[in-house]
Formats: sequence, C-alpha cells, structure tokens
Amino acid sequence: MNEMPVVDAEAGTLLPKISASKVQVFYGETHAIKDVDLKIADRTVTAFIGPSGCGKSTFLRCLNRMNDTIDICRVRGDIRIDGEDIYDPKVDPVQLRAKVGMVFQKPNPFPKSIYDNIAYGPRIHGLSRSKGDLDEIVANSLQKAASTRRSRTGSTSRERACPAASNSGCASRAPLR
Amino acid sequence: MSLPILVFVLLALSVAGYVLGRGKAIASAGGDARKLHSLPNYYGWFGFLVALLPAALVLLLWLPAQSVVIDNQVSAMISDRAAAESSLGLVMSDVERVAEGLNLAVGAGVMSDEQAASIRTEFTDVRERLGEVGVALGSDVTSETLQAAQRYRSMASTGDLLRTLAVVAAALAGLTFVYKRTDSAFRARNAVEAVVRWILILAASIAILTTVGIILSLIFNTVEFFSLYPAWDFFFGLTWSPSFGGGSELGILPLLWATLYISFIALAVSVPIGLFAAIYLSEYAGPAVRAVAKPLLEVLAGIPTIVYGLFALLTVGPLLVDIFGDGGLLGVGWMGGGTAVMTAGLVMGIMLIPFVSSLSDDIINAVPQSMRDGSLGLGATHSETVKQVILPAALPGIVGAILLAGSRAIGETMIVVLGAGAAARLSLNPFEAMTTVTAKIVSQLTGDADFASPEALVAFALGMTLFVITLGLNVIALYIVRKYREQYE
Amino acid sequence: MTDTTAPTGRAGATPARKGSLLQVDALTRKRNAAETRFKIYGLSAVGIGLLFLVALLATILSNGTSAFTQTFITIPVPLEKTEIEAAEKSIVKTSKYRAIIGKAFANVLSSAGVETDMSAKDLDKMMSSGAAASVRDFVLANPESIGTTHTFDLLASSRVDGYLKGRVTRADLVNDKNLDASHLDIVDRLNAAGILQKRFNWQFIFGADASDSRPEQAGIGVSMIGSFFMMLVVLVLSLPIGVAASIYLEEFAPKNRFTDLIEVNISNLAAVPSIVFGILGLAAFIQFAHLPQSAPLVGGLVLTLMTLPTIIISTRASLKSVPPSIRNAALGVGASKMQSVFHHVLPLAMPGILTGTIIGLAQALGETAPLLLIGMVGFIASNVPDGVAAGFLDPNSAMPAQIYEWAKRADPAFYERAWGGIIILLLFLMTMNIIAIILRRRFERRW
Repeated sequence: MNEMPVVDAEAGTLLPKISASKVQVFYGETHAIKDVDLKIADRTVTAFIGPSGCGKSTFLRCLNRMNDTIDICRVRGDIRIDGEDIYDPKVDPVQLRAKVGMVFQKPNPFPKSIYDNIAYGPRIHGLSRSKGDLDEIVANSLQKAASTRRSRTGSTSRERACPAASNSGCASRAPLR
Repeated sequence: MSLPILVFVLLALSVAGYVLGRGKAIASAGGDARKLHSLPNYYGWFGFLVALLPAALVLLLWLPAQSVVIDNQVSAMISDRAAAESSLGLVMSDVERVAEGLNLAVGAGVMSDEQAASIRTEFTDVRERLGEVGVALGSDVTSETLQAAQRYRSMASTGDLLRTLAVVAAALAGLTFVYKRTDSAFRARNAVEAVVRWILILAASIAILTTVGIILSLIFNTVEFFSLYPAWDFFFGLTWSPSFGGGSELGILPLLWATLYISFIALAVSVPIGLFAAIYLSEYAGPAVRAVAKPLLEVLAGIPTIVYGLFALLTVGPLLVDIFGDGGLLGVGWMGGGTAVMTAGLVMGIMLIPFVSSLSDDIINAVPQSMRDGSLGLGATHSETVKQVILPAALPGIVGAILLAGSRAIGETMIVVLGAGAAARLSLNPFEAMTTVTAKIVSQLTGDADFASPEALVAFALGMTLFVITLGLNVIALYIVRKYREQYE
Repeated sequence: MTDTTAPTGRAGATPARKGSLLQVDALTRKRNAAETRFKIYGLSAVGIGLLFLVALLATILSNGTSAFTQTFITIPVPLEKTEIEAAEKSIVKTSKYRAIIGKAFANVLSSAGVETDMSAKDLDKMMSSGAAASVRDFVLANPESIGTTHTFDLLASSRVDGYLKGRVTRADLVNDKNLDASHLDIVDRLNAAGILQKRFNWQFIFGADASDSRPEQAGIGVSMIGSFFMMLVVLVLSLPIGVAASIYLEEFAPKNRFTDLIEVNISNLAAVPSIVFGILGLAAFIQFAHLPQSAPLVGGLVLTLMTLPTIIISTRASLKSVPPSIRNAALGVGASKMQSVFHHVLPLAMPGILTGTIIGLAQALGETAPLLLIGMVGFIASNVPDGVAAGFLDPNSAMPAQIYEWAKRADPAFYERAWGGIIILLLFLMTMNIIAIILRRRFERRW
C-alpha cells in the first residue's frame, strides 16, 4: 500500500474537493492502509493504479464510508469533502453516500426489472417529484449508457446497463417495467 | 435347538471360520505373512463373513416361511364353524397360546413331552393345568383348539429341527468354501471390502425401504377402507361423526379445514416474528447479541411437542378464555372452552418461530454481499436495502421456508391433540374447538377397536391424505430452496 | 479495477442536495426514522421470541416443582397379630388394613389434641387409598414386625397435598364430595403439630404410575426405564446404520439415479410428520410382524426410522468436513479406499458424528405422537420390568407418553405430575445437549 501513487491536486486555485491526510485502515489486526495523503480537485478525473490487493478499493470505500458496514474495519485519519470531515459524528453516512456514489468492480444488479434497478437510487433519495420525472431519469440514463456502449466495444458497460436477472441469464429479456 | 442357541452356534462357527481362514492363509504362505496378498486378518474376516452371511440369510428367510407354512396347515384343521363363531385370527391366537402353554408346562416339568402331545380335553382340564404354569387362558380350551395346538407344537418342533440342520449345513458349506479358496494368492482384502461395500449400500437403502414401508402400509389399509366406505363420501363429506356401532359419517373436510385453519394461524404468528428476528439477527445484531439470542431462540425448537401441548392445554387455553371468554377481560364471550383453534394455532406458532427464523437466517446470509454493497453504495439505508434488495432476492428461499413450516404445522400432532379440541366442526370462529387430521388419526387408532372396522381404517386414509399433502409441500419447498441456493453459489 | 467514487452533488443537477454534510436534511431524517422503526420491529421480534421462551420455562417451573414434594402423615401403627391375621384371611384384605390405620390415625389425632366428631370413614379420606397397601406390603416383607408398633410415613390424599401446596383452596371444596372445610381445619392443626409434612418426593422420580384415583402415588420412574430401553434400541440401530449409510453416500456412491433416489428420500423422510412413522410402526411392526404392542422394542424401532435421516444428514456433514488431503495421503501410501475411510476419515469425523447422534437421540426421547399409535399410552406402567428381555418386550410407557397420559386425566392433581414430568424430561434433554456441545467444543477440529 505504501507504493500507492499520490496525485496532487494542482488544477484550480480552489480548495480541493476531496482531501485525505494520514488515512489508516485496519481490518482487525491487519494494517491495510498506512498514511495516505491525497488531494483531489473538483471536476477532474483521477485514477488509482496499483497491483491487485494493494488497497485501491479499500481507500475508495473510505470516501463514502462503505467500510462502516464491515464490523472489523476501522478507519483513522482525516478525510474531507468540501472541507467537511466525513467521519464527523454529525455526518449521516446515508446522506454522504447519496453525495458520493460508488460503482463496484463486479456488476451487481438487484433482483428487479431494469427500470427499477435504474430508478432505485433516485427513488430512495427522493430525486423525483412524480412518475414522469422518474421515467425521464430512467430514459436518460439508458440512452447515455447506450451511447457509451456504442463508443466502446467492451462488454462491461452492457452488463452495467442491463441487469441479467441472475437466473434468466439473458439480459435482454429482463423486463423494463 | 432353540433360536438363541442356534444363533450362538452360528456365531461360534463364524469365529471358527475366522480362525480357519487366517490359519490356512498363513500356512499356505509357509508361515511368512509377507508373502500373502492381504493382511492375515483379512483372510480371517473373509472366513468369518462366508461362514456367517449365507447361514444368517437362510435363517432370516426360514423364520417367516416356517410360521406361514405352520399357520396354513394348522388353520386348515380348524372347522369353519369354529372360525365363524369368532374370527379365524382369534382362534389361531388361542391355538398359539395353548401351544406356548404346553411348551411351558413341559419346560416346568409339570407334563412330560408325551403327555403334552396326548392329553385330551375330555379327560383333563387343560385350562387349569396351564394356569398352574402361569398361562392364563380367556376361555376353556375346546378339543379342536387343543388338537390344533398339539399339531402346531409337533410341526414347530420338526420345523425347528430342520431349521437347525439347514443353518448349520449352510455354515459348514461356507467353511468348506473358505478352506478351498484360501491360499497365499487369494485377494482376501478385495473380497472383504466388496462385502462391506454391499453392507453399506444396504444401510443406505433403508431410507428407501422406510418410504416404501410407509407407502405400502398406508396404501393397503386405505384401499381396504375404501372398500368399506365410499371414497367420494370420505373426500367430500361435510360431517365427521364416527360411531363404532356403525352408520358413521367420515367426511374429511371438517378435519382438513381445522388443520389448515390452525396452520394458518400458526404461520401468521411465526412467519412475521421469525422473519423479523432473522433479519435483525443477521443484519443488525452485533456478534454478542447474536451469540446469545440465536441459541436461546433455538431452545424453543428443541423443546418436545408434548410440552407445547401441555402449555396449550393448561396455560394458553385458560389464558385466552380469561380474555375472550364469557366474563373475560374483553367481555366478548367468544370463547367457550380452553381448547380452540386459536389456542393450538398460537402455541404452534411459538413452536415454529425458531424453525422459520433459522431457515430464513440461512437464506438471508446466502444473499451475496455485493448486492448489499451495491445498495448501500448508492446511499440506501440498511432497512431500505433489506426491504428492497435483500428480501426480493431471498424471496424464493423464504417462500420455501414458509412452505416447510406449513408442512410442519399440518403434520403436528401433540399440540392439536391437547390444545385444539375433539369435536369436528366447520366454522369460521377461531375461538371454537375443532379437530384436525392428525388428532383424529390418534383417536381412531388408540381405542380398542379392531382394525377391520371402517372407523379404525379411516385413520390410514387420513394418514395417506396427510402424507400426500406434506410430501407435496416438502418436495416443492426443498426444490425451491435448492434452486435458490444454486442461484447464488 | 472499476471501483470509482465520484462526488455526485453537482450544482444544478440536485439543488435539494446542496448544503453541508454536517446538517442532516429532512428526507434523511425521515429515512433514518424509518430505519430506526424497522430495527425496533426486528428487535421486538427477537424479544417476543425470547419472551415466549421465558414464559414457557416459567410456567413449567412454577407448575412443576411442586411435584417434587409430597405430603406425608406420620402415624405409629400398632401391628397386632390377631388383627393382621384376620385381615389376611379376609377377601378384601386392604380394607381391613385401612381399618387398622384408621384406628391408629384416630389415636394420633386425639393425642395431638385435635378434637373431631368425624367418622373413621371420613377421616380416612385424608389418606391416600394406597396407604393400606403400603402398610400391608411392609408387614408381608417384615413378618418379624408383627406385634410391634411401627411408625409409618403414609401418603396423604391428593386433596390434602393440594391444599398444602396451595392448589386446592377452601372455596374449591364446596362441591367436593371427598373433603370439606372441617378436614382442612384438621390438616392445619396436624401441619402445625408436625404430624403432617411435605417431603421430597422420591417416589415421583423412581416410582410407577398409579391409577386415576391415586394421583399422589403416581411416579415417572417406570416410564423412564421404558424410555431408556427405547433409547438403547435407537442408539444400537441408528448409529451403525446411519454411519454406514452416510459413508456410502459420502465416500463411495457413484453419481447415478439410485444415489439420487436415496438422497431425495432421506431429505423427504426428515420432513415427514412423526405421526406417519407411528402409522408405519403400527402397520409394519404390530399388524404385519406381530411384535408385541406397547413394547419399548417397537417404540425404539419406530424412533430409529424417524431419527435415521437426522443422523445421516449430520454424519454426512462431518464426513464432508474432513479435508480430501487426508484421504489422498492414505491412498498415496497404498491404502485401499475402504481402509482410508475406516482408518482415517471415520475417526476424524467421529466427534461430529457423536454430536449429531446425541442430538438425534434427544429428539427421539421427546417424541410422543408415534408412541401413541403403537400403544405406549393408556397403559398404566405399574411394574418395573424384571430383566433385560422384559425391558425390551414387556408393555411399558415412555416419559413423554406418560406425561400425555397424565395431561388427559380428569383430576388436576395429575397436571402437577405432568409438569413435573416435563421438568425431568427437559433435564434429560438439557444434559444430552450439553454433552453434545462439550463434545463439539473439545474435539471438533477446524481444518
């Protein structure tokens, strides 16, 4: 983990969007991440590169406090988003995760229709005032996903967009509503 | 030779087989066990098994065959008149008792063997003389019975002699075979292992035999019942009023209704509690709470059903009457007595809580972690994740668990026997006493009724119905649960 | 690696989201409230389950512990030769003995200063109807005692016992034809004088069942012996058969239809209602094979068939937990498959197998329904079997069947016995389960 590349946020003169200092993560007795310092500027794309198991995901999971869901995992250090400490006791992790989204390594479609899968996030966060709003969000997302897919030839994006209703196997058969 | 002695002789011959096989093998290798194909003990065991198994098989086949042959011969001696007076079976059991009494009398030295074979009812009070050796007979012995008994005795002693000869001959043949077969090149280990393998297969087949036994015993008696009572009336009759004097109405519908009603209440109690408990224990509870609460809940599953039955009869029933009965807390007067559908249903629900919760717990834990992460990563709360992601994913498994719990409830006996009441009734009021399929199986078969009457045989038809329903539920449930497991493996 | 997190709270897209993380917004508050509610539902479900457990155990203990004490009346009875001889010559022997006891009791009363104008017959009602028989048994066993005065501790009748235990109140006795309030006055004074006292009830634990009219004499001992012989049958049959079947299925069975059939059969048999096994036992063992009714042997056979699936399932699990490396190591040094299983896998799996067997036995010990059908109920288990063969073949009851029998009787005095019997049954089950847990803790290996 020590070799994790640290990219300084150099773009812009503003406060960095995300800043981490002296982040430590423990899994039980194992010290998984040691002393990570990092600043990420707003509206930039940042990539973490490293060998398998070096802690990239673990660090990412710190950013929206997904590590809270693992009983034996402890996080130390200071992580700020817009200058606010996300590990402050006053911060609600649910609200934080609405702000800091996360896409996982493995596609994990929920056992629902494609529509409900896409509408899941907006629904729980109350982002739509009406059914029409929701329809629009879903349609937009699907279109965007389709356009990305056209621009790339990989199959990963297709899996992301169409949840294979795990047992049916064929993604295209998953019902839209 | 009596049976225990014969078994002992057979065992002794088998041990001889062990010594013979082992000795011959070592001798054929010139005393050097390393030249043998297998370890010397394998030759011994081969000798043991070859001496024992065929002879034991002969014995096992002989025992029922002999009794069938003797029964046929002796019952031919009993006149139709005597058989018509009572039943042939009763006369035959008298004959057996007299024969047994004569044996005892000879054994006790009260009679000589010849006396036993020659006494006549005309000259001796057989009943009294047998009474002296402790065989009590219900009625005086007729001369016909006595003659049959004497014939029975002589045939039995001839049969026993032949049996001894056959078994010993088989064992000796085995020993000869062992002696001829054993030499240093003989693969004794392979032979012994093949036999052991067959024994293992036999043990595994007992599961099939049990099922076959259940099905046969249900089918034969059910068919007999339907020859005495129309199947249509049984399956679609609305009244259940058995009377051992005849003219019974044996409709299963009231029983089935109460069974389903009670099971429904039991599930209505156990499914929400069990499911929520499982969700809490697997999703929220810390390791400490889990380590305490889970085993404690499972204690409920380990308590015998008779305890729940007593709890229903003596505690829950009176408690419910205090609340819903005449002059009760609510003053509604819905409930007449402690035994009721509600009583049995509630207690059965308590019994099923750990069943539902441990099954659901397994199923919820089988939902992949990635699915939880996905939902939490999107900012869902834990309960939203449970309700909208985990439960839908676990739904098939949970349905399977509920079906299994339902099958348990339908087949449960002691709680309904003690807690539900004895009157068959088609009613919607859950505070009324009703009776179920299992309770009636018990009550129809525990009396002294003879097994030929439709009132007793109906229990087998009820059992058949119960077996088919629960088997159907189990097969479906196990299939669903297995499919569900495979999906996430 | 495609894990990415991105701040999604962009201006414009979600205006409602704007604001500090340190302030929880209204929607989140609402959702958190729902979260708390949901958690409370779960917690209360666990609580209700545990509450039921506590209620059940409390009921058992509060109703059952009184069965372990019993009221005795201490009476010195003069055993006069002439009276005893007259009694032995009479046809109704015990009633003569009753008269002897009644006289002695009257003496006790007057010497304790209890004045009563009650007839001897009425006074007799305070004593168990089994009292006379126990005096007679003593006399027959100790003929040298004739002519002396022997002090007996005789059982009080169940009503008197119930009064001292608080089960019977004065109000209950208004309609009772056996006892009335004046009896209870005498009881109170005798109790104060120490002539009548409660003692630990060994007879309940080791004694035999008694008929309907003598609940004070009923004990669970004989049916305990019946249960013991049944468990012997179950253990001797189900352990070897279960282990053999599991070894075949786990180690040798080829993947074919026959194996599938066996597997499906076992999992279904595990879920067949127990009463169906009772029907099987009735039809196969009693109707067809003519084995004796009510015999622990038959009960044991039925329970064996019932517990086999449980034992097979747990045995297979413990065989499966032995790692393949053990088998390979044995095969590698030239052992046959059979040798590798019997020399290595089976001994390693043994703790798990024993644990499963004990749990199966515990299940069988508490099972009642199938026993009802093979006649192990409705039978008064009044004699201790004399010998091992009689233990297997003579009619007997079993603990749960005995409890059921008591629960069905009309006299509430038997209910106390039933609860007491449950305490004993649960103690047995608890011991078995604790042994199983200890076995598992001490010997189970994690690979």
